[in-house]
Amino acid sequence: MLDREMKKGSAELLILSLVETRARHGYEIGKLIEARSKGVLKFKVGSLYPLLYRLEKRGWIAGHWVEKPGEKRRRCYKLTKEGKQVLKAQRSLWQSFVAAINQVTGLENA
Amino acid sequence: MPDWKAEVRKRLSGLQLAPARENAIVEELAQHLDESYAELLAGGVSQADAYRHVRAELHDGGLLMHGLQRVERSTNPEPIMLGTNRRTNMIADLWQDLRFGARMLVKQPGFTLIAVVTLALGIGANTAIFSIVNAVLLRPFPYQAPERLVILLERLSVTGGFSPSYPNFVDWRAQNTAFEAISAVKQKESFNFTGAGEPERLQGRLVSAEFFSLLGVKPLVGRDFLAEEDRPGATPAVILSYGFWQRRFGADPSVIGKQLTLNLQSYTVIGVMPANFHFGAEADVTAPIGLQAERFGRRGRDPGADVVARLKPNVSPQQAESEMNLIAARLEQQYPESNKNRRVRVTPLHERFVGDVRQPLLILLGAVGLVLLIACANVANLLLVRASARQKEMAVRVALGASRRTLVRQLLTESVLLVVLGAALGILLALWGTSFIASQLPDGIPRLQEANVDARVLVFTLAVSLLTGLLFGLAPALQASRPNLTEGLKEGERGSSGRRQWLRSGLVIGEVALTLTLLVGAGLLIQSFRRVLAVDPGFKAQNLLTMQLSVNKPDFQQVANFFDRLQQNIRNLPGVTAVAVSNGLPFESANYPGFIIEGRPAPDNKGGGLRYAVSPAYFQTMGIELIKGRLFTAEDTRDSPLVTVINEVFARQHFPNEDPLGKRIRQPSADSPSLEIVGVVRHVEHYNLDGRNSVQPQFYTSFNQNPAGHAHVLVRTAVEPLSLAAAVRAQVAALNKDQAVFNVRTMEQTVAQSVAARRFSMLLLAVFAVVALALAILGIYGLMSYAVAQRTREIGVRMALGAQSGDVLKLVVRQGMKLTFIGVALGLVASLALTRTMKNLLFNVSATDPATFAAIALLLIAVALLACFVPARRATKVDPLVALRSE
Repeated sequence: MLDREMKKGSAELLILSLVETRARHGYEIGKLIEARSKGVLKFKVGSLYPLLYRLEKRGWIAGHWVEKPGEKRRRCYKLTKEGKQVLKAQRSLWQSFVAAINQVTGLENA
Repeated sequence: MPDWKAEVRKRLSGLQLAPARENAIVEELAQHLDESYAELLAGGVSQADAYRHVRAELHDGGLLMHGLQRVERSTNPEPIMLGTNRRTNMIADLWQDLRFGARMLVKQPGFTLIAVVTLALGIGANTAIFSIVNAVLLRPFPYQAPERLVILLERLSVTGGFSPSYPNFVDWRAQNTAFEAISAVKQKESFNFTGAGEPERLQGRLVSAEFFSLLGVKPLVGRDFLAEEDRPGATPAVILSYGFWQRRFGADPSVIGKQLTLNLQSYTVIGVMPANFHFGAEADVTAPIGLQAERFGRRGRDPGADVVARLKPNVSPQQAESEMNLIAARLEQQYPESNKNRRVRVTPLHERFVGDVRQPLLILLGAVGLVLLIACANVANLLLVRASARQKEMAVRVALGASRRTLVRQLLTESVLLVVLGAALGILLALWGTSFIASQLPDGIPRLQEANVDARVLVFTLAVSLLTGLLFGLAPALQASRPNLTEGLKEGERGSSGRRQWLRSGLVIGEVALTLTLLVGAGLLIQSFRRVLAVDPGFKAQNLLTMQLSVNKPDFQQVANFFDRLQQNIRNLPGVTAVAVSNGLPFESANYPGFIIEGRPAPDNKGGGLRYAVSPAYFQTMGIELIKGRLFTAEDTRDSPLVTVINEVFARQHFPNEDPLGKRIRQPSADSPSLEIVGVVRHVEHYNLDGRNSVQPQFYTSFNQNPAGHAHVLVRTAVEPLSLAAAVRAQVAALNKDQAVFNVRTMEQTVAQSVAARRFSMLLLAVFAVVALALAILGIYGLMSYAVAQRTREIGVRMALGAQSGDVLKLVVRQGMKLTFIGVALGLVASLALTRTMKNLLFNVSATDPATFAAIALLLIAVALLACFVPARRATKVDPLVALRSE
């Protein structure tokens, strides 16, 4: 029933987690996901940006242009208050999901 | 460095974004691609390879375009382009929603069943009533340019109207300039069909030669009448109806040219009408009226004929009426005796045929509309309950990233599925219901036999269903899709925001109000019906068998002899207490000639009355009371002075201060014999029991002094009247085996027929009101059960703190009754406004009859109390310990 949202949800969870502590721009987010997952998870431009825009539209992250001297301006994204709530809920759901999977597979191994 | 901006911009062009938004996206993405490119170069990849690589990532099967399209769609609506990705995507989404919705419905078969059946009742009833409205009111008549067809009637005053005499029609035809064509049509003529096996009495119609061409209808086989066939002395010609042609001649085309013996006269068959041809009363055979011109020849005397005409283009019925009134004024001068004060009324054919049934049908349509609204409110309530139960599911899905749009779409899809199932079942109900209602409807409602579920009806049903789906689905969907995340995700919480509760209460209030309105409408009709049935018709309808004969004999004496012997023979049958014959019978037919009172000055001496030619035993057989003077006796014969008996209305209107006995009346034409008034009898309702048209003079002439071939035979019985029908028929056959007998029925049936239309609208409205009541009760019960379930814990706490079960009962009942009272109050106000529209359908009951209003309000309150009481009782059974532990 929830598989469609699960797939989408996991991607959203990743992004929300990455912008939780500090604002980041798109390229950075993509690179971080790739690096932290040791190359298992990869976002292409075509899926990353629509996702960012959707989260922004929903009000869970907020993007703004940041200008630094000597560099081109960049659009950076930060978690909003509402986003924090969602992230909390998603994390606990995800944890119970993973725990449930572990429990089932763990039992079968035993 | 490649120009990534141009590359990105090229890909966004199809999205038609606002320029500022497009620039921002282009800048952001180009930067990303710049960095990827730079990184690849730094890693030692050649410029060409890096370019190819980055470009491939950007391209990637249209992923970006597709993704952006979905995100940006809501702010930038663009037309749906055939052949773009988006379409397949939409269909995939829809398919997914449908499958998901179907799964949800199957999971809760109880809910689904109740919702679908409720909707099916609402949609089915609406479809059935609309298909009748469609057939009777909306579908154009199957004639050429039917909007230019009118009916012409003569009238003496502003209201009413009657068929003109044939000579008047002939003058109208000669003198008018407003009509393209004008034709007389005499309906309900009867023909004895003999000489071909079993004698049969046929329904017929007499028309002018131009009748069919005026309507724009051609015979299916053979030809139309010729002008020279519409004259006295012409070779008799006849056109058959399709049904009669099928029935008696097996649809054999060679019937053309055959001879039929009708009323002992030989007619040549010249044509057959198509199956779909109808005009007023059904007629097996149609013959030229001019053949019998001498029978219709006396101006100002019956029998008259209806007149139908086709207006010239750009002539309005009003213009035609003005012209016809000028002609009528000329005729009045020319024939003052017969045409005094006669004017003409021109009514559109459609108005004339359906004018009487329009209002009841529209009221019924309105009533089923209300039933559907109530059904919607109920299903909406069910959905709201369900939405509460699914609040957690919704919260989870929102937390996982489902957008509000997705949820609303999903919930609406479920509603649409419900409505589609409901509509499918509803159409089945309507197919059955339409033929059922049509079969229950009284005769005389035009074109009812054509009522069916056609394309227009299906479009109506579709529109109603979609509207229904939105109506009951949207509010719950919007509510449910706005879950409170933190509340919704908490374990065991049965979330119920105040808003949702408010919406549900509002729906129940609305249901109660609408139900009250329907109940009041039905109540008023039932009251009227009871009062109509209580009306004394002036005769005793019980134990009275009636039938009609049309005797073709060359002279009066033979007709009189035939009926004398017939009456004698029938009187000797066991079980018969009295027998009479008459020309004219209440609730059937009677002539309406004018008359003058001899010895009165001409100017104010005008009048008309219903005339019945009756045998001496008629008054005894019918049970009509004599007030003064005497009735007809066997001594009143063709050789004795002509006498008449008048009714009390006649006496009151024309002899207010003098004794009518001994006075003389005669019909206006100079050669009419004068009749002496010998008796006064009670008034008899003639047209219907509600007496709107029939408080008018009636007079009786002696059948023996003026026998008619076309007569009713009345038999008063000591046993069940219809059980004697066969014996009476046998007596007729014994006298003449070729004599057809028709319309054999009891007087009670005839009277019942006259109230059939009233009974019908009353019954339908009552059924709708009962369905509405059941739905409203279900609504109140559901709401209260839910409220009790919600408050289980609160009730448990109260009881733990010492509340008695009586307190709990009061608590719950008060909540439900508050809604009921608000609903009843609103419903009473709405009823006051709505019942005015049905004033014309009521009889001796005011549209705002306080007794009916009060009784219905009390009934509704009592039933609502019961609906609250059951859940309230359940609440008192709450075990405080269990209630507290369960949370």
